[in-house]
Amino acid sequence: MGKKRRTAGEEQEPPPVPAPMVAARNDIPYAHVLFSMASHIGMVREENEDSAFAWLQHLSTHEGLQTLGLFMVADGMGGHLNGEAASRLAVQTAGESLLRHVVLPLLGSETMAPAVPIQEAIAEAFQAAHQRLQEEVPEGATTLTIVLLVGKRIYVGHAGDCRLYLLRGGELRQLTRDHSLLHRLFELGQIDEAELEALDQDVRRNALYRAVGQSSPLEIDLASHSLLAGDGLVLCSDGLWGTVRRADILSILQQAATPADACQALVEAANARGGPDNITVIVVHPAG
Amino acid sequence: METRDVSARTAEQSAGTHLQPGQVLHERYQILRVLGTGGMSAVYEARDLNFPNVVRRCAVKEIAIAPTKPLVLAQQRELFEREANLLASLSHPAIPKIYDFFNEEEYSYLVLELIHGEDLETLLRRHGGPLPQAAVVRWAVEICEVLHFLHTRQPEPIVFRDMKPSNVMLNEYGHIVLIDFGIAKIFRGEERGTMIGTEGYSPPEQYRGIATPQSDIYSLGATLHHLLSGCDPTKEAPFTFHQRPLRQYNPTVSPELEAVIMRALAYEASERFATAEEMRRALLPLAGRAGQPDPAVFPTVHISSEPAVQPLWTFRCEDEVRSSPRVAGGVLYIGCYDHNLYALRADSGQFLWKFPTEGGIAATPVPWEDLVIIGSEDGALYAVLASTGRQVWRFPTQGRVRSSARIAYNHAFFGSDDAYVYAVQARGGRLLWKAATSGPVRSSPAVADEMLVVGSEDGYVYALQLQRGTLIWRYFCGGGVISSPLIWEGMAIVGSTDRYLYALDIHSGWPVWRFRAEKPIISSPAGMGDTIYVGSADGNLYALESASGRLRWKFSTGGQVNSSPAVAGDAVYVGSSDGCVYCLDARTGKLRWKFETQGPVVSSPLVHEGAVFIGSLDHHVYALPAAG
Repeated sequence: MGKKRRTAGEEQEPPPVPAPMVAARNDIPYAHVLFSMASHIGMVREENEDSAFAWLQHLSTHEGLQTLGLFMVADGMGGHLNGEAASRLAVQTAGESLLRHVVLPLLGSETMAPAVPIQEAIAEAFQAAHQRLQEEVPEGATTLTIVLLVGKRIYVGHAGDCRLYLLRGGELRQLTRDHSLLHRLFELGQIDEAELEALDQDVRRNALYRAVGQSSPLEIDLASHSLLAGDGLVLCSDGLWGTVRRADILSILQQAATPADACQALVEAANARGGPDNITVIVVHPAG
Repeated sequence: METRDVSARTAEQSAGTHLQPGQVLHERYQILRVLGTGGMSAVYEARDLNFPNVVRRCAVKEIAIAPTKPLVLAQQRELFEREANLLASLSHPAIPKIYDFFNEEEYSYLVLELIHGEDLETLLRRHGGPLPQAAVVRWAVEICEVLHFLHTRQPEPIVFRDMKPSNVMLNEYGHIVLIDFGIAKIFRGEERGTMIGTEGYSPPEQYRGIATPQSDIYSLGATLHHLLSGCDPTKEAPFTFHQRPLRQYNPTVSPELEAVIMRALAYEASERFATAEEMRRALLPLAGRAGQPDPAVFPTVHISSEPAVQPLWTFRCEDEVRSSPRVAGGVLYIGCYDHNLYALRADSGQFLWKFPTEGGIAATPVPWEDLVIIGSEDGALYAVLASTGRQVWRFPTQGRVRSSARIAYNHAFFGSDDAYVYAVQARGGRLLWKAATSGPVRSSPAVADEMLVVGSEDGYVYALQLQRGTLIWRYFCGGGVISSPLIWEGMAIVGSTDRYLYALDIHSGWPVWRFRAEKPIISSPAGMGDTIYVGSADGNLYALESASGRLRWKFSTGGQVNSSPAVAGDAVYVGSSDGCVYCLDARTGKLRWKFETQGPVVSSPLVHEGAVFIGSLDHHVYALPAAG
């Protein structure tokens, strides 16, 4: 995180020793990050149109431990082989773009800070994927949610209806908003949260108004959030959240010993409820 | 629900090729050509062979039936026959006549009057941009007439449900005809799997299965918006017309017409026109020449002009007031270019005392405990007694002090034109540390945790450790940083003369996002909720989404906005070099009021107990009534 501990200016006189002005710095969360990923075709579909990507780097230097993580889930659509190709190409293209423009320059730079704002790099990754899909899979499209983890902060890019949840203090909070008609009705107060949850299983939830590879220009949601020690992240396709209720996802997460156990149990839960869609989930958690 | 499914493209193609030209359907209708395809349906032009001696042409609509259970299919077919019978009973010039209907294999067919013409979607595409207001209003009036006809049928009103440009034909005489009464929908199967697209023209309540005459009025509003803006609602997030003001896309649309359309598009059905007839009456006066309604017929749309604002009090100094006010204990403190720090009663503006320095004062005074701390262009930071203005200590630097001190942990942190950032004891004025940058430091430090964040004209934002002034990180902006950072949700948000507003992660110094204005950003950002407000020398006050830096709205003033905005309640206040102090709705950016001073306003407003305090280069300090 580029902490250069050097004196910025000379000290004029021996500094008086003041009472400590602040408490000692808290331990950095995510000093050791664990994650796991699972993707399953489900019980009904004949193809898995989901694609996912997970990558984590720990770099330990004299300045401390730096953690960088990149997590992506994409749910393709378009029928035949288009959905599969769309989600795979989107993840590959966006992943390559971010590794090339954010991660590699950091390893080669002295300041270890990226030249362009992270959100611009994420937006660029989306545009690269969007363009590639329009050229190579014009009949296909995909949802895409990208989470870049840098120390205590996550950077999120989002189009479609995959979801990113933050597990904090025993609650599961949705950080992304579904770009679906149903969720839009919720945002406008036409339906309340209980109805929305009840309608998670409704077929109408599948109608999206935004996806990578569809009509230009592609508009995406960008956000960034500070993380606290103990936070967990769940990134999943609608094959999970459309099948397993949020309360059940939460209790599975709380009971699982490791992210791998959590992923396994979440996929099993979706399949136990019929597994109507492909299920992809990434769970990121600090070491206990 | 109407959707445009990506995978439906193949279905369209197969539907389009089901019947071949020359083929005779139902032993009566000879197919001539395909007129169009859409969703699970196709329309053919056919010749009715029951009239062997004349060429009687008709339109045959073919609806492919999605595979379903036999019982469901039987119900669907019954519904289809009932709807077809109902429509066959309607007689209106804007509704095509239904001649016949029947089922064959897995298709249902409607035989209709053939309309020679073009639908509005095709027309819009051919025209390649917004259509002229006069024509659109004429069509809209006709559509209202036919909707009124449908909505007043007995015993039940008929709701069209599917108003959109592609369902409105313009016949050979230039009159409108509604096509596709949504019968096709009866046969739509349950859609499975993720798909793209929402219908875009339907009102919110229609997605809950509620369709009333007001639903058609909304859809007509959406259709008119599309025709006049050229902006396709199926490509936008649903129900976002109000985020796309019509006149922004097409300035030739009159404000009166925009008001009519926006009322039709009201999110709540009860706020729309009660009837299509009422909407027709509102449109009629606009049917003349574009943008020239007859004021005698058209009810005036009240555009509220801002009410005159009377200052609560004013106070005259000897020179320009660039400094920004602070209030503590009922006393307002402000610096002036006449070298003085003034103390005034906040409720009346009554003069209490003034403290002379050796130079002009641009910095903001900081009340702290029983002191007021202020920097001067004479190069020193002063602490004076708040009660009397008597000097307690003076800390000299080698440059002008325009930076305003930030007090934390009993220390004052500030910058100087000598390029140093200083930390001095607030009580005694004794130096704790100083840290060098490579340019004048006019930015005021922000404090977060054990960290101080400040900008320098050398182009860097510095994060310094509070206790020692050691560097934690620095970030290079493309231009000088005079703006003062705002710590917001773990980010330091700060403007630069390179025209960007930057959001930097306070722990790493990594840029999270940046927002580009047209000219330098000297103004310091303010935050409220999830919105960041900042001014720019380009004349605008910007409201940005704090998580992404995305523009929410901007408000254009007549001069540079180097003043820093203040947010209080649901209003945001800022000064401009055009001489005005502005009060805007914080959510929408709409002007609530403005107050004109006699000189540029670079001072930043302070909102305190129902009053807005600000200085002007016209030598005055003003107290204005805050909104609400």
